[in-house]
Amino acid sequence: MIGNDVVDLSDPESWRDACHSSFDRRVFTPEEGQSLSMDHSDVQKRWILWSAKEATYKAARRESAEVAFSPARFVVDLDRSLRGSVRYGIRRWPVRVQIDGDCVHAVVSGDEFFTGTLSGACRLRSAELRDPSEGVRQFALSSIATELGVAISDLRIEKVSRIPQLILAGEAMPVALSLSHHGAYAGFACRDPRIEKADRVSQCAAAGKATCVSLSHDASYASIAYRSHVEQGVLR
Amino acid sequence: MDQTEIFEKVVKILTPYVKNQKALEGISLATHILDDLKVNSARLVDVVLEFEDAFDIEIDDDDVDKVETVGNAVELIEAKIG
Repeated sequence: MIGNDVVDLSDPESWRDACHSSFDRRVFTPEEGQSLSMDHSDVQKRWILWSAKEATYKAARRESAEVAFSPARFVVDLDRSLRGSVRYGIRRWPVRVQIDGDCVHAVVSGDEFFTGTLSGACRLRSAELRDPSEGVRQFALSSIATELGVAISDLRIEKVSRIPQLILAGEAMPVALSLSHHGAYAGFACRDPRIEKADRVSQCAAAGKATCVSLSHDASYASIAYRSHVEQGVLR
Repeated sequence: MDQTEIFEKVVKILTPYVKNQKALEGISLATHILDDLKVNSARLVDVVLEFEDAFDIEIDDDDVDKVETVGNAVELIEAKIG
């Protein structure tokens, strides 16, 4: 379960008076709205909160079509390092927001420590701005290929029912992928296919399914799962 | 107000937020607001608020969730203004 959202603070759409006068009241909780009015850097903060809500909506919607596009119901709780969580009803998702110049990039993951999450944001080149949807796909493919150590030609992204799907060597990867672009920036987030597979192996092992473990042809996945779980404090 | 008038008003409200001008040229009731017109989700909030102002109606978030196409928006507004 993955979501991401990128906002270009330099885009005229992000400027202080670009939104409808009731935008903040519609989108933010009373507490969030109050924190905005008290914060002199409220334009940046507005989009930090928005991106966290939007990234969470994307992630939550994948889990359930019942989740409504209702930003005020997504309650953001971030610390000073812009890490924290977003709550929707009784569910809570880990979120982190990164700011690089004019780029605000929020990533939501089911993985609290983001150890199994690949993500990034970049400024699109002028040629890519003519088709930012293609630009963000190329950025995601290039980043994921580098991370996995595979040729970019082996990877592609297809949309299935409006949801981007990562294909490796012709095989659909069972991992969530989220793409986003706004203004001059593009961002992505993806569950790391190695961790995903490792987690499945370790889940099989935990369930005592020895056959499943023995069928795992790459022992490194198990060690990745082990490291991941140690980092998360699940194992010692 | 008939459906044609609502449609024209909806298109006028959407126009400043549209990123895909080609889709705007061929806009119809079947046009998808996010996928075809490339209106982004933050701007969709502004669009809904402008619908409320222009038609003197209230649109709650659960209604917004059902609006994918221009036709969905026209039908929703038509139902609200009775």
